[in-house]
Amino acid sequence: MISLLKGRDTKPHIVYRPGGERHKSTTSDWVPTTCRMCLVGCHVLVKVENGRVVNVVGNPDSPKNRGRMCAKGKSGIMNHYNPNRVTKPLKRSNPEKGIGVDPRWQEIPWEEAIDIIAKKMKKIYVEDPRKLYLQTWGARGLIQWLGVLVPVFGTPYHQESLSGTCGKSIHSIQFLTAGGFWDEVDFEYCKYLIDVGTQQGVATREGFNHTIADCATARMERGMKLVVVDPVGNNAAAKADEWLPIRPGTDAAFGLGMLNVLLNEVKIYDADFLKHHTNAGYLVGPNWKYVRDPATRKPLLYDQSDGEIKTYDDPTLKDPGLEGEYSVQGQKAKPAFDLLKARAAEYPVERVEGITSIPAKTLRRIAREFGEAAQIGSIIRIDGVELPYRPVALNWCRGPQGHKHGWHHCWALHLVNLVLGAINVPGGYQCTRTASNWPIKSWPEAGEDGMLGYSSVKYRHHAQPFPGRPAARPTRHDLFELFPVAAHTRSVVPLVNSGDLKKWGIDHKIEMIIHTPGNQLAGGFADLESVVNFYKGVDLVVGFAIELNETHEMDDIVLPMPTYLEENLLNVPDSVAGEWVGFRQIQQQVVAMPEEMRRPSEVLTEIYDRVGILDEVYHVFNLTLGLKPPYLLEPGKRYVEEEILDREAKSLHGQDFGWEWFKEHGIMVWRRDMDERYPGRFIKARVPVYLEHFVQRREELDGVLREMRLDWDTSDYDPLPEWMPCKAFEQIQRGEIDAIGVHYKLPYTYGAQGNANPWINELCDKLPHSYGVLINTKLAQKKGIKDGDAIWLESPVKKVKGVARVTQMVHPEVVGIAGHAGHWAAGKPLSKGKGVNFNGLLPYDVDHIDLLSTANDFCAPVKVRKVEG
Amino acid sequence: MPAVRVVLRGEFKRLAGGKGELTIDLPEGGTAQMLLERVAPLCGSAFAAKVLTHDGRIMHGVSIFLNGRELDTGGTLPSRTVIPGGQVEIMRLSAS
Repeated sequence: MISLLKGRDTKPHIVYRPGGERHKSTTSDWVPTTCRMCLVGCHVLVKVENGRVVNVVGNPDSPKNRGRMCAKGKSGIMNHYNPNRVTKPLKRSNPEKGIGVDPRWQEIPWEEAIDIIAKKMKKIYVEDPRKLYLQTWGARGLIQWLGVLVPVFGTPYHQESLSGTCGKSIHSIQFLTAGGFWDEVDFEYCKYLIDVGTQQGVATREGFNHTIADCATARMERGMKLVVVDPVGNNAAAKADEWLPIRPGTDAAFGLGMLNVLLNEVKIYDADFLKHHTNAGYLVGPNWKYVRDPATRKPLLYDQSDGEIKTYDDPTLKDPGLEGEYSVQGQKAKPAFDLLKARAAEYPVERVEGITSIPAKTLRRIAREFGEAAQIGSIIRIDGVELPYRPVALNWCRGPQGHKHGWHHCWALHLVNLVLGAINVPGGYQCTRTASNWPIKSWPEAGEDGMLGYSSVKYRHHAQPFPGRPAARPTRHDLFELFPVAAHTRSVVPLVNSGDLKKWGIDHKIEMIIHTPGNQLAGGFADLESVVNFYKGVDLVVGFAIELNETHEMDDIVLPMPTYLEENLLNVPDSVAGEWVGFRQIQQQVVAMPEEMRRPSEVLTEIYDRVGILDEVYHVFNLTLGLKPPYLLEPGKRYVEEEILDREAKSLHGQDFGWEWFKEHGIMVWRRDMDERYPGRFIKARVPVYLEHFVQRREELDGVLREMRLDWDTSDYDPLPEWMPCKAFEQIQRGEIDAIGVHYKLPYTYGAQGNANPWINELCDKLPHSYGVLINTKLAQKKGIKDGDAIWLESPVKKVKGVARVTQMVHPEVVGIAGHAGHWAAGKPLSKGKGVNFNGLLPYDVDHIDLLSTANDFCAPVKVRKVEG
Repeated sequence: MPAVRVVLRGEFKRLAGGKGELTIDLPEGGTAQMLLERVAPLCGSAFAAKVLTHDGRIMHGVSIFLNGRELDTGGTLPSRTVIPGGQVEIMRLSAS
């Protein structure tokens, strides 16, 4: 808790204000709560005067944001007092659904809305619970209340993400290589950062408000080098030492080119780490599988210290060989690392230049610089503990992931960190939430073959990529069974529903959707017609809404929900990578809801009671929230939200730390052990540089695909990284399109809620890259386009008009479009008709989905021309 | 020989043909892995296919609670976690 920090040594840049004191007067109060204007969840103090919110500032007590705020957070006041806010239940009176079709909303009483929903749910519950589909994002409390329907109601469908493609490769690769979920950079010690397709440390991303300050400090005070590799010269590029404009969809070639320089040219890699903490020394036979001990089935390695072949867990194993060829059990075998080196050797920098358009000499120099900066072999002592010091990070995110072969783009880039041993050690790439000693003990474990498994308790909403699961004929609308290593496969649901379900062997129809305000239609998938048709095919669509966005225009019933300044939630225990404290923050109601509104938890309690599942809901909450006697929820009773939160807090932290304590203090902070802060070398499991299990998963999948007569290319199940072109890359090479449309994130917009806000809209109006289409000077000249001209962008699925912003800060073969623009909903009058809806330009078919992760390909193939007349 | 009351929830109850509860006798020292291997054949092939892999591992996404506390099913833990008796609840907590 905060008071425990008194007297502790604090680092100069960390400002914790002990005691949870707040400015108080007779007419005002500052209330601690969590900002929900994006996914980060910074902690804020809200000033209330006469029952109205008048100011929001960052909470200095919070390790998450250290008193800082961003424009999105500040503008939260305007979202709260949105004049277009929904405060009463609405029912569609126009049965016709479609883009631009007025639903003709009618206000209805709560009882009527609850009755319609409960009756439909009960019918489905009796008939077939699989007919219910849940889409949730944003409001964590509501996610909890709807998510409980998976174990209780029995639906297998809970799409818990802002978009269907969320974290497809990102989370999987964190699981595989560190046992965690997300990533940051250890700016405290990092000296060289490469951002690929992301703006880590400058704009957007997890921990936004503290990473910006930390990155700036690292740059200004310690001279940390920042290189940005991105088709768009974005906010991060503007702050970088170097910006390398890369051709979209070629990140894997860039990563493999770096690996080639490191492994084969300058020979810089962390051999000790690779030998003892990875499968680099595991021997691989001609069939691409491990060579195993016949008796134990354990993988074998060659021990250079005595020339013996041993299992990976042999206590006498001292010095596994990383290179060479060995004769084992009558077959030739090579260490996995040797195969990785050979694959990298296929990507000399000259070839990579032809693919990526990044000059060969630049790539060679950057790779060498990065490798040298890793200081292989160096040690740092922190608080008396010696740890490997690897002050480099190659950070990658949404850009590389969003491609036809997105997994391989991400994997090739991530391997650069792995071969340098720069994961979860000081200075390096940090995987978040890897390990925890308190308040919940949770550590990654070794699984099959000594390779890292992860705690299913923490990450249950993403399926594990290792060892994956055998493929089978699909039974679900998301074809989960056909993607045996994917984290989730929700992005294919509208696609599957756009055709004949029998083709896939699916025997049930989605009859009801319940969703939260995450705007799936505008930003969740691709080709709008497919997505609209999906919603149109559902009998009853129920949306919880603050304002009426594009997805709500497909709803049959709209239920009003609180803004984040009216919600209560006990957030999960959290930490910032490398930080010396862990923490738990709360979100609490700061001001009263409009009188006519009801809390979603109260509404759902009523609905679940009528369906006949309320007691079981309470029972499952007892289990999942970790409630203990005497705080268990009892059958036959009804509880209000704050009662449940109180029981949850006391069950985990003791009777002195209930909901009232959290409301007063806002945050609980505790000291973390060194192994929690930098768990890299403390995890007793190996991580892969070679994805051997892909070979088996592919064999099984090929068999199922043959049975189903599906002609899918499964070459992505390659245990080594590989660059494979996406469609748009091939189209631009052949001259069939003018440019590849890519999207980029702005630090002041988020999801579908951003630019409908007047303050954010004003920023977007004034900053030309917000609503404009970035087009390179050369392409503009070729097309006779000048800055400010109206232009047509035509993709295979949509033709849209935009405003050209002619610039050199975009790759010559690319047009750049800010995400989250191009709204058309009547409920968003400020942003309606401004900018281009990027997702609407994207083709949506099997050729534009990564058949390993199911990520959508975010390369929009477009023809560009000036609007005449 | 401890008797274990097994409760199936949600999708697993449906896949087991509506069978929501059953009692399983486990030998002393019986593990979570052993329990699932005994439950699966009693609940039909559709249930088994969603709970165990072809080589007998517990599928990701299968959550197991022993007397109200969740068991970690990561890695090889199910084959090391002893079930001393009491109530075991098996459910899917997320869609993945």
